[in-house]
Amino acid sequence: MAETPAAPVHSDPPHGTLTYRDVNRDIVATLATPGKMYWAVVGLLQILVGAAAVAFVIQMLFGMGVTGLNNPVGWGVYIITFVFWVGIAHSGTLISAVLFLFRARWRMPVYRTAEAMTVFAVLTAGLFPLIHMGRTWKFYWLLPYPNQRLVWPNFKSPLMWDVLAVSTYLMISSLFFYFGLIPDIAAARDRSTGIRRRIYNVMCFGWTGRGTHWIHYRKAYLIFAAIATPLVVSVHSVVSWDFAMSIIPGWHTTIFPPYFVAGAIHSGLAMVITLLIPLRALFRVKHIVTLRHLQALALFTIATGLFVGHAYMIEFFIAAYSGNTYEYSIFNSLETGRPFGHYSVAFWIMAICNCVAPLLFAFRRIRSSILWLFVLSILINVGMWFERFVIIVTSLSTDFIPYNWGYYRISLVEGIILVGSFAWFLLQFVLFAKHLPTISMTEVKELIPPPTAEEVPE
Amino acid sequence: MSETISAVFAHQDTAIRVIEDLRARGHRGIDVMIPVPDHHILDILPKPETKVGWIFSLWGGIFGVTLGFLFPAWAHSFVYQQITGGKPVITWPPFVVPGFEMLVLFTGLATFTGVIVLCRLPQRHGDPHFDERATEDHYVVEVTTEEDRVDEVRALLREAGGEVR
Repeated sequence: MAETPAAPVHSDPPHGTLTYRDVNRDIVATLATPGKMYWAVVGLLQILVGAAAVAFVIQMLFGMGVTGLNNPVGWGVYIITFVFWVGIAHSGTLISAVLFLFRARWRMPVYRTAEAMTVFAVLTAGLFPLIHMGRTWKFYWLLPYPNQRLVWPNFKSPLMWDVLAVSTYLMISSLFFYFGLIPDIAAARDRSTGIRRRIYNVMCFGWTGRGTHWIHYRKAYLIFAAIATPLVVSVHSVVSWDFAMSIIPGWHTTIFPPYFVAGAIHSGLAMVITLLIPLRALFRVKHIVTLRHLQALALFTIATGLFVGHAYMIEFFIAAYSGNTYEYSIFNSLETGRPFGHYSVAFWIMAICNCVAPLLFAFRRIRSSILWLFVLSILINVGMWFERFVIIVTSLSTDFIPYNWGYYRISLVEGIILVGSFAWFLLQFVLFAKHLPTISMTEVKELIPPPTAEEVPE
Repeated sequence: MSETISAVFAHQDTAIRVIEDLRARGHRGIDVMIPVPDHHILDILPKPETKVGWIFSLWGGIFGVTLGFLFPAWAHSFVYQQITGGKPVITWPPFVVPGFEMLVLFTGLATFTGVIVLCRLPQRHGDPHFDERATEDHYVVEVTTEEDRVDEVRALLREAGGEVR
């Protein structure tokens, strides 16, 4: 890898001296046999996933009493983490589809990572309703099929919509992800040997880059982007209706769909930054995923952070302006309101991490520092997890009747499963990074000039 | 009898010039194998259109949205009336969600299937004119022509600097 061309990090256009051949070589090099460090990471992640599996078995054996869930807080860490991971999944399709339609060229080197993140985040999120159910062995009751009396599930219920939306999102984002991978798997196939070559050849359907195939492919990619764009907006809207269609104070608001979508994109963008920083260092692709791409993502989080902050403030305003006692007590009351009540620490973590931290990216010096980018992106993710905590737990713990109020504590089992979900997500990502190209060779090549016989005037 | 000849070019502009040359001489059976969907090349191919949208995506979408509305309506009326909140038996607003999700799902599945079908993938035994460098930085130009014009095409490709096979 020593012969990697030294493209200056700040150069504009970012891929100054790269050629098509360099792109293939450098990206296929990320698939080389990994070192000890890699296996150490995989081993550590597997231990954490294993611990979560043990915690889950304990929950299966002893029942939901091992969690902190009880009346009145029946939705806890599991639902919070479900919403968190579904949210993380959003920016992947945003970056790959919406920015594709807007022809934002900076997306090209980073979109594969974001899409992979989407698929793995949905796969992680999908586990949580199953864990939360308690009687997980009855999971197939969620599927739309009639019971013995031939009654179908209630398609008017937001929970049913949620199943449809999240599973559609999983299917479409996986297809979109795989579709984008086909030409790259073919490129990786032509630079590998043995069994690996045969597997890649099957995976890419024997793709040859034929012109007539590219014509179909190009059109289909556009159609995928066009259908995935409204899907991104719909999925988190539907997730928000799980809350907004109920009558719990603090949930029953019309602002939820846009609020959730903005929050989802906010956390997803932060997660892309968090993943890309170690990825580009470990796989030596800093000349392809440059600082400029990370900065573009960081600037994007300023906008989404402001959306989210705006939504928080509107909630307080509407609660006060509506004159509804229960809304007022959830938001504005000095005893039980979110900024002052039992969970005020969670509220302030949420507010500072989501709204204030991204504003620091407005300073060029901060968004030019890898360390700052990394730290702030993690803070945003912490903030977004706490956002869901605040929404779910504060509303449930202090609902209508003070006699019914309760306090929710996260139990050890729930905590281990929460940590395990991060390990599970990262494990999938780490394995993916060694088996399939994490950066799109085809799209990076589209950014750089093709090999020509004559000198092309700049 | 027609025969297929192919040549590998190292440069994009040479490949473009060769395709234009071939088209000017009246050849219709031209195809390429290229590393990126380069519109400079794809748009000068004899048939630059695709029907994947009109045939597959559109009908997939129509099927999906119809299913998404009619299926819940059927399940909530003919099978067992699940009346919620005193509303009519078939209320369309809540079915917008299944309708939309099925629209997207079936459009996507049909589009993917469309590409596989239209490209006649998977190619189990590979393509005889494929060159491994075509997924990296080379351009394969493939011409299918009458037997009596084979020598002419071969000469043209060689003259342009291609590796003729």
